[in-house]
Amino acid sequence: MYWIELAYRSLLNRRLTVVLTALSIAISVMLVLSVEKIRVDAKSNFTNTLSGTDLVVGARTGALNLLLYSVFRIGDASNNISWQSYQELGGNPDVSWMVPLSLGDSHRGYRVIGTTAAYFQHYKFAREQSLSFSRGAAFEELFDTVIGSEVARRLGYAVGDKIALSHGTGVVSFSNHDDLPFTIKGLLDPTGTPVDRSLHVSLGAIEAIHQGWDNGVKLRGAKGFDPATSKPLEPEVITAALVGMKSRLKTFAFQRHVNKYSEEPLMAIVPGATLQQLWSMLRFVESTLLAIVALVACSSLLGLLTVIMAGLNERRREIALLRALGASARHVFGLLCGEAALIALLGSLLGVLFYYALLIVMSPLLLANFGVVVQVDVLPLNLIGYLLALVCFAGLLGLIPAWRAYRFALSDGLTMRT
Amino acid sequence: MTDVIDIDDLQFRWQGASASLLQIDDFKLAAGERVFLCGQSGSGKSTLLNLITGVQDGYSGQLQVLGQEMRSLRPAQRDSLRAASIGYIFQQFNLLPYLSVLDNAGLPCRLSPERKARAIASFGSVSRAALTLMTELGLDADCFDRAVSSLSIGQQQRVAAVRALIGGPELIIADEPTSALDTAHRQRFMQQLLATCGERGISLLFVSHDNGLREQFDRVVSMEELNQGGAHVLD
Repeated sequence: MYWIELAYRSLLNRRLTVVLTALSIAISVMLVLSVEKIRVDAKSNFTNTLSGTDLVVGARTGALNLLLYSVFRIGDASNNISWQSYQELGGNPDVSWMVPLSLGDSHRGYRVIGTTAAYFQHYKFAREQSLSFSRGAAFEELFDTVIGSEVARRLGYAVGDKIALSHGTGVVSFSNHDDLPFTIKGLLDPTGTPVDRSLHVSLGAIEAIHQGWDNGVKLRGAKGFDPATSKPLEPEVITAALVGMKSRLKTFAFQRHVNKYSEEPLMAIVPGATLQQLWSMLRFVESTLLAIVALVACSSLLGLLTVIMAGLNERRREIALLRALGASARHVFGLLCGEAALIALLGSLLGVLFYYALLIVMSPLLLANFGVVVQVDVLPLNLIGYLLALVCFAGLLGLIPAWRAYRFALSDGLTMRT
Repeated sequence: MTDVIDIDDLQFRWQGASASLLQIDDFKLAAGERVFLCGQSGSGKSTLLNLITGVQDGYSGQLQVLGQEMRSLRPAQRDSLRAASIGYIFQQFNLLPYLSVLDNAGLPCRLSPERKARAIASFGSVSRAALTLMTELGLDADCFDRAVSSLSIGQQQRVAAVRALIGGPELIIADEPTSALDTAHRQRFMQQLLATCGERGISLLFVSHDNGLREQFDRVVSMEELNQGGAHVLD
């Protein structure tokens, strides 16, 4: 059919407008895909903050509170676990490993975690991914520290630097442990989790810097820890513990055991379930992103409609001419409809291309600057569905100018509007 | 031989209108006849042309084009009748800007197999038919490959005439094709168009309100006399 070639030539003749329209669609498709990607990845980043840990144990409090201070390092613990209970629980034959967490100190607004070297082995995030060192290694000496990627980047620290910790968790602290400086021993790779914003030291170090302190105040005249003479101390209390079971099946039995622990009021939570619960409280973030996606898609389709409609009046002459040459009103209808669908298709394909280009460029930057792990992967099925729906809808919108052109074709006949 | 156009008691009114816009008792255009149809705007001219070309339907009475009653044809049949048998020249803006001059001239042969066959039968090929007609109508060979937009209005109207003539349609309708031309060009254009139609026995229905052109035609028909309809309303 020569009509199709004519339609193609006509489109080619208006290529600047066509390409600009397709570009505007491409940009919105790119935005839709990116925002959707952010939505899905933010959710998975969030719910994968901690994986491979079967239970988190802490003093009895709300499940969310325990999760917030132990995993997200937000807020403070209301109570502690005694070292004795910790050891007793760790001796349970079903427990594979336990990692203690001791919180309460900070360094320039970043939380300090007292723990053991086992933390670097057992703390996992995303899909059972282990922590890895970009520089240096786990702490060995008493006053060694391992810092997260954001701490290192923001404060410009490198392995070998000496830093002082502060008591409490404010950005500015007036009670510093500056008599006992720490040496940075290792830098962790970015993870997209609160680990990036943490400094890790040994439990012994936490005890050492608090020797001669009581209730957060340095006691006057009390003798502090002297690295030369004092021996490393066992902690009396810790804040929380991560637990890995030998068998997942034992998780709930052990959780009950902890919850009913007679020596002191403790509780254990399943982190995955509590993370999901927390995310559902943040549902509004998700719905806001979805609303943005919908609005972006709408604006691009409106743009498409505007461009075609605006061009229509100019094309009344062309329509009359084609009619005189034997084009039916239905030809005119098909011409306009096909054009809209074609532009939408072109725009969508370009948009997918732009999206991947953006993803490939941005994913290392996002990881480096925000610690957000964005994976470059195949378009998920639901996004392909969105795109198809967008193209179909654009084609349907094309029916509006097509219908108008059809009416012109019938009412103008061969009368040329000049 | 059947008349190219045969109208008998043709009536047309818009849906819902009480008075007829068109009421033509009798009008015939014989094969090879060249008729000058004059009329003021609002005389029903455009409607008549739209009915003859089959772009408009919904009339009563008889309207036969090449022996076919237009009302009895399906829209698609009317469209192919128009493509195959009617050449149409507009007042201006006749050419598609995205095609070359030669492609514009040969366009009806791409859209209608009958006209292609006739062009090949008479000239050997479509492009030779276009070139021959363009020369006959006084177009220089150097504008054949040029962009349509670079042609003068006079040259554009000639290309439009070639397009109407190519593939030997039975009827050419020219709707004020000379109104955008100056007097000197108008005379030459008219002579060439009339001569070419005459040589090939093509009927010409020439619509204009420029009475200076009427002497060159076989017959002059005034729309006001032809149309008995009450309508000297705007169309």
